[in-house]
Amino acid sequence: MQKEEKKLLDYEVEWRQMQIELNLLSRQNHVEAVAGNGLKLIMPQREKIIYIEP
Amino acid sequence: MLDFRFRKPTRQITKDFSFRRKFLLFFMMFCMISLVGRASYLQIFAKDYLNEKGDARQLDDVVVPAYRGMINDRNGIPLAISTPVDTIWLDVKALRKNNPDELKKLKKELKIARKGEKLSEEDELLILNEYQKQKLDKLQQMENLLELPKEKLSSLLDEQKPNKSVVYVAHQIDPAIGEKIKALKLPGTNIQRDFKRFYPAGEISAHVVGFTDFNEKGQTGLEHVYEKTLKAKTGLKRVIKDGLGNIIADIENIQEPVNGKTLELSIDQRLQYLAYRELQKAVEINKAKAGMLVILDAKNGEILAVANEPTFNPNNKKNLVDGSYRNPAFTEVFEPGSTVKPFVVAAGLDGGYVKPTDLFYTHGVFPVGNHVVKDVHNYGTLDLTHVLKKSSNIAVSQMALKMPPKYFWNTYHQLGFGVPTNIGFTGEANGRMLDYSRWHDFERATLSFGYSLNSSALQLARAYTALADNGILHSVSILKRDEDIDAQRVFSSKTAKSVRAMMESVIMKDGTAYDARVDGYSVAGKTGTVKKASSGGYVENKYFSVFAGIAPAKNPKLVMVVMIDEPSAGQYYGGQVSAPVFSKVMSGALRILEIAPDKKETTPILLTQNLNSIAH
Repeated sequence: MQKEEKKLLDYEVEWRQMQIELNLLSRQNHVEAVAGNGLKLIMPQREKIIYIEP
Repeated sequence: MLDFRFRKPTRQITKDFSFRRKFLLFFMMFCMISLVGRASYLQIFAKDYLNEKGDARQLDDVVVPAYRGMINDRNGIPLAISTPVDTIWLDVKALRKNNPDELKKLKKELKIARKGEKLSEEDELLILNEYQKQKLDKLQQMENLLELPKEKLSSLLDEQKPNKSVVYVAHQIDPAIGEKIKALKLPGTNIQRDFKRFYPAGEISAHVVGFTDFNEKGQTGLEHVYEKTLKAKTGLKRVIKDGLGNIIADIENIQEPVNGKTLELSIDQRLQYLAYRELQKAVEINKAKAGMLVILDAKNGEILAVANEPTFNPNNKKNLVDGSYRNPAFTEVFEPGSTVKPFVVAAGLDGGYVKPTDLFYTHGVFPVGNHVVKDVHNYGTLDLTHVLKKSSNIAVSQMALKMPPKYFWNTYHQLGFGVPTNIGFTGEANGRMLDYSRWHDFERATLSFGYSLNSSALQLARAYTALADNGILHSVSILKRDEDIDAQRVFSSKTAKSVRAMMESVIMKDGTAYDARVDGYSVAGKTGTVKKASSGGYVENKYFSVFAGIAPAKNPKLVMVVMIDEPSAGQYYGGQVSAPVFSKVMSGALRILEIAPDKKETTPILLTQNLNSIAH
């Protein structure tokens, strides 16, 4: 039982660390940097945006 | 027949044994009684005492950890989260002491290697050296695991060096590394389980969320305000342990561990990031001292974003300057300047002191009592729309002087000037506004263009909700909520709508804040360029550049206030410094919140055909 409880605690710890990691990776500035530098994405120019009316 | 009756008893001796038999009987009896007595004494009379003693050897109270509550944004993204960390410290005395068991083990090994030969003194020394080497090796492994500089720990073994008895090796390390260090089984190693508060959003939301101290007690911001909600209560349970200290069974929960409650904020981290990024850029470009930005939900007063620059990193408080962790958007006041002019127009219209068709004659200067109110240019004759579009001090002064002081004061008071917002933030500013009984004519005039009173950025944004939600002023909240139960009507719906329409002209090409435009959306807003006051009066060349705006103007969803403190790169008008920030943040925010464009003229390309035609 002690083992199982320890497992439970470990999962909780892991979950929290995953949350933090998820957050660090999904931070807007990180996403922006990856999109801009890694994937070479750019914001489309105003003239190139097409709005579709519902 | 043989007669046995007269036979001489053959065993006379038996008689001699009867005493023995009795003795034995009594002896056994005595033993039995004493056993029973002892047993009953132990079972009945000494029971409690013995129970206690037994328990003390087996039972133990173990602390059950509980987590401090998380702080999440409105979409459940964590802004503050507690994770367990380990602190490692070495007991130097215990570290230096030689463990006899370990030495014996080494001896045995050597004996086996030598095939049972007796060990000489030289060998004993060899063993001691080997033992020391093993210790050193483990210390070096620890150094590697913790990424510490070499020799930092291994030098502790040096007997010559006088050392502290306890050395803290590492604070707040990953528990996984802690486990590995535990596995080294180095004597004197102690591992203590702690919690660390981590702020994934870092400096972006630092002023709102605040931070905790080493004991996870809230120090500033919401961590401090909602300490009671967030606080965790560690539990305590009684367990049975075996001889080695392993827990065999739980007996009872003495105290149930209670995790802190999660706090759900009204903040939208996506807007928060956007606001912070643009504000930071603007402060840098304009070489300003500081900047603040507040975004409110126009319909229920929730604070969607509040950004401040400069800020600090709550994860690393080393460079923290005292006082820099306050939230200036809530705690600092400034004179709102021309941003209050729409309220004067609205108050005039609502009270019937100004008619929509009224014209105002201005000549660039306007004497009030012993003072003179000035405009930047001579605007000549202005209608109501142009009063706001050109931001004429003279015209609004004329309006203010038409209104009874009490009425004028009451409108401002209802809008929340000089009234705290009561969001529960420590050090929240009240703002200041003189009572109308002490007003002179010139004060009334200056109040109409935003001097002689001050407010925080949050208070100004709150006042703008009255224009945004068709005359209804909202209370503000930093916690997520469905509706505002404290809303109150200040202006009539008709007035609010018409003033908003006038404020749209400010964003036009010939208005004061063309830079605040947002493509595809109608925007209503007002600039403010306020001279900074110091003890000796107003200072030349030092300004607050303010912009307050509402979007979309037709059906408002967001209210935003941008304030840049002391821009010193040349430009200082609210329309030049703060309006571009508004434009960038607002266009991003409207997109993020999926609010449909309402102004087709400026929407780049609009497809009204159905989707099928694009697909083909």
